[in-house]
Amino acid sequence: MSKIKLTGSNSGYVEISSAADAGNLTLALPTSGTRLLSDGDNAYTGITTFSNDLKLEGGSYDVLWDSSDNQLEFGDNAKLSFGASSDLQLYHDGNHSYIQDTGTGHLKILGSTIQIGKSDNSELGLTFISDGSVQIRHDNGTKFETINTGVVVTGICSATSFSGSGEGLTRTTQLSHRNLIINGAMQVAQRSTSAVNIPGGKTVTDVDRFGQWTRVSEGNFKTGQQVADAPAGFQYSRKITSSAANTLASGSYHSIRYAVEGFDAAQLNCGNSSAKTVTLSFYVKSSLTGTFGLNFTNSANNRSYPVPYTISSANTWEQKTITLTLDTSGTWLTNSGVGLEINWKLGMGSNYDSSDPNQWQNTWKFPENTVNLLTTNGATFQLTGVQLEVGEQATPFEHHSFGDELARCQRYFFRLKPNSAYAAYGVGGAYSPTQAVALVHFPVPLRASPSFSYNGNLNQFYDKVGGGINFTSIAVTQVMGDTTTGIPHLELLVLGTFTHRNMFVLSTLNNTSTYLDFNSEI
Amino acid sequence: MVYSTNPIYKLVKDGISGEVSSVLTQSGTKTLCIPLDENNMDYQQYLEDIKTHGMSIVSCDDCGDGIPNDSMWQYVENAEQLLTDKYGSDQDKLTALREYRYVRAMEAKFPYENMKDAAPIIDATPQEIKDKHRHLPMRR
Repeated sequence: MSKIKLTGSNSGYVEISSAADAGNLTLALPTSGTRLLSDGDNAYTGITTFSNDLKLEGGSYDVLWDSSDNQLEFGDNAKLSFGASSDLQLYHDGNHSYIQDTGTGHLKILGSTIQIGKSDNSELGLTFISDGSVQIRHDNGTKFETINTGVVVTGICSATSFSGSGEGLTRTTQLSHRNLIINGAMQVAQRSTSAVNIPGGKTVTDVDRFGQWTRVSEGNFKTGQQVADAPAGFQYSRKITSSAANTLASGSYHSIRYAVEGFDAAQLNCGNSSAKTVTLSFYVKSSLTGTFGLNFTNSANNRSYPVPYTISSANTWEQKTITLTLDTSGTWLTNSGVGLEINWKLGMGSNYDSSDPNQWQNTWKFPENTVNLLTTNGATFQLTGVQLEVGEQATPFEHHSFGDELARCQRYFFRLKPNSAYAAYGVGGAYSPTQAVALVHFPVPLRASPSFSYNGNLNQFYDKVGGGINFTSIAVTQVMGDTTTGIPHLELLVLGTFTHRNMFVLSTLNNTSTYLDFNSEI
Repeated sequence: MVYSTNPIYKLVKDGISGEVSSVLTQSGTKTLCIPLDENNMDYQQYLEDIKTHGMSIVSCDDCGDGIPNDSMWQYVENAEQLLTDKYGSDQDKLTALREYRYVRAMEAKFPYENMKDAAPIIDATPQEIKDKHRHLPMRR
C-alpha cells in the first residue's frame, strides 16, 4: 500500500483541512501499531471530542473512558488525585476502596442531608440532617439519635463505665423494690438451716418463703436446707438433696415453690390484655447437668407457662434469665391469696409433661424431657439470687438488709423464740380460774390468721407473775385484724389453774428450747 | 401434710367465745392449731383433705354454740348427738341443723357434692323439713 508523508518546515506547518461545507476530516488508520500523532506534546484548543473509548495509560495503571458503559474507569490502584501534594485521593487497590485525605486541612463531606448506607441503597447506617439530628442505625433501625437536648439510645446501652453523677438518669422500671421475690438471697431461715426431711403438701421447711409442693404420699424424697455456699455477692443458697434414687409415678410432683402474694402481683395485670412482661433471674447450681424446667402458674394452677433452662456445668454456679409476657387469660388473684406462683421442677410425673413450652396453657405443666433430680440418689440443686421484676431486662440483684428481709418474711411466718431461760411470750390475765389469756404482738402484721403451734411440753411453760400452774392447753383464741389490715396481734388461751383476775405472763420455764410458731404462709 | 393420727383433725371450742373456733392436727411432733380462715394454707389443706377423705377424718366432742360455722363441726357424723347432748331440750337447734344439712345436700354443696355423701343426709331428714324445701330441685 502506498504512503503519504507530510513534512513541514521549521518555520511553517502542514495543514490538512476540510472545507467548511465538506463535513468531517477523517483519518483512517490500520487497526494497530500506528499512532495518529507524533511523540511529544500535542496541543489542542477548543473542545476535543472522542466519540468512542478513550484510554489513558499510566506508568503502572490505566484509566479508560468506556463509552458503552458511560463511565470513566480507573483500574486498580489508578487514583483520582486532588491538591498540590495529592492531598486527597480516591482509588481502589483491588481489595478495598479509599477516600484518602493526607494533605492540609480537613476532609469535609457537606450537604443538606448526608447518608451512608448499604451498596444497593436499601438500608442506611448513618444519616446527617442539617440543622437536625444525626442517626446511627443497626439493620436499618435507629439505635442512636441526637436530639436538641441530648441523645436517644434505643435498646441496651452497655459500657465499661459511665462518667458523671447520673443524677438525671431516668428508667422505665423502678429503682428500688423492683424485686417481687422476698428473701431471694436466701438470707432468712427462721424455721431451720439444717437438712430437713420434706413432707408432702405445700410446705415451707427451712429457708423462708421458698417452700415446696410435694405429692402427699411422697414425703421424705428430699431434704432442704440453707447453706453458706453461693455465687460472689451472696452469702447463702437453698439446697435440695435427693434422699434416694426415687421412683416417680405418672402423678408425682415435686417442686420448689414460691408464691407471690396477690397484693404484690396486682401491678402485673395478669389475666387481662395489659399483662406485663417480666424477667425472672436466678443463680442455680446442681450436681446434674442438662435441661431443667420450671413454670409460672396461677393460684388455681389451671394456667401455666412451662420454661426449660439449661445447666451446663455440674456443681458450678450459673445465672439464668427468663423473660415472658404474663398471661392475658385465666383468673389471677390480686388479694392476700396467691397472685403468681413459680415452681422449679425437682421431679415430675408424665402427667405434668408439656410438649409446648414457652407458652401459656390451661393446665399445670412443665417442659417434657427435663431433668428429674429426685431420681438420682444424692443429687443436689441449689438456688439463690432469685429476682422477678417488671421489664425485659434482668437488672442486678436488689439486695436488702437482713432486717428488712426478715420483716418481709415475718408477714408470712413468725417464730417467737426465747433467748433466755425465763423470757416472756406475752402478758395478759386470768379470765377464769381455769383460763388465762396472753396477748402476743407481731413485729409486722401477718398476712392472715395464722396457724399456731408451740414447741416443747406444756410443763416447760409457766406463768411468771400470776402464779398459774398445771397448763393443759395453749391455743389461739381471739384474733385482731384481717387480710386487709393484717394481723397485728392475737390472744393465746391457756388452760390450767389460775387465780381469777390475776395478771398472767406466759413464759418459758427455765429453758430456751420452747418457741411459738405463727404461720400465715400462702 | 402427713398426719400420724386418725382422725387427723380435731375440732376444739374456744373457751371464751364458746364457738368451735379452731382445728387441731399433728404436724410432726407438734400440735398445729389451725384458724377458720380460708386464707390460711393449713385451713385450705383441711378442706382439701375433707374433700378427699370425707368427714371421717374429723372428730369433734363439743358443738360449741350449736351454730354451723367454718369449722365444719355440723358435718361430723355425731353432730346431732353433740347438739342433743348439749342442748337436749332445744329442738330448734336440732331442727336448724337438720335443715341446714338437708339444703346443702340437696344443692350438692360442700361436703355433699357426691351423692353417696348426700344420700344418708337426705334420707334421714324428717318429712316436715323436706316439705318445707320441696321447691328444691330433685337431687340425682
